[in-house]
Amino acid sequence: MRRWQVAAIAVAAIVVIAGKQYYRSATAADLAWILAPTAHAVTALGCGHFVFDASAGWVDANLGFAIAPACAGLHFALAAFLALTIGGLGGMRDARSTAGRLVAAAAIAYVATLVVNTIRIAIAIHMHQMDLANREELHRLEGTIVYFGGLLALYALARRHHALARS
Amino acid sequence: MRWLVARLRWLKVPVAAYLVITLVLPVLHGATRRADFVGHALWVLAGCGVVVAAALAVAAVIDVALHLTRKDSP
Repeated sequence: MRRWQVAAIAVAAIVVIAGKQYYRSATAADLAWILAPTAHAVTALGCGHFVFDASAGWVDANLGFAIAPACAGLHFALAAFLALTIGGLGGMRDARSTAGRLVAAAAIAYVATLVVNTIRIAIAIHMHQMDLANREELHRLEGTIVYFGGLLALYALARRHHALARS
Repeated sequence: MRWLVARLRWLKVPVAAYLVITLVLPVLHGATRRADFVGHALWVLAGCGVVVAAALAVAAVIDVALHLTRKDSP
């Protein structure tokens, strides 16, 4: 393994650990950079009308649904950044290519989080309006399936892009 | 079996990344002391299992379709 690849893995590990630490104590206002665009996207999809509430996050009182800090999708963002960084190690040959790929991984992880989290919350709102038994458990399972499915799809697209770029 | 291994090989990076974030780091941070952590871990593993099974099913359908199309082509 080349030294730039080792450096990239070290950067990814630091980002993941720092990100987890930040997420533990972050308030809705701290997470506005990721919660606000998600809430706007969910509203734009016609799945409610969310307004900011400093204590709860983004709330639709009519629906009785809140996009809380725990729904920000930061874990997905960190997993996507980590997977894209590891997947892109092959192209990290010098400082420039390593920095470029790390920045691209962060940007793609952010955009993918907005897309996947919007889908997850839109589905969760529809499930919230249904008369379901075990709602809590189904909400958790839905979260894992959408996030993990989104991560696999993102990684598959990145691999395809790398393969096309190489050919 | 070889088909399954080949199909599963590319999944190792996203699977590992997801499990590191959702299970390994919380365990290292002492999450096992929380009463609801085992339940959380089981839902995470169940969800991952469902998605991997679905991805393999889609891959199998695509492979069968490609195989049949190749056979039919002159």
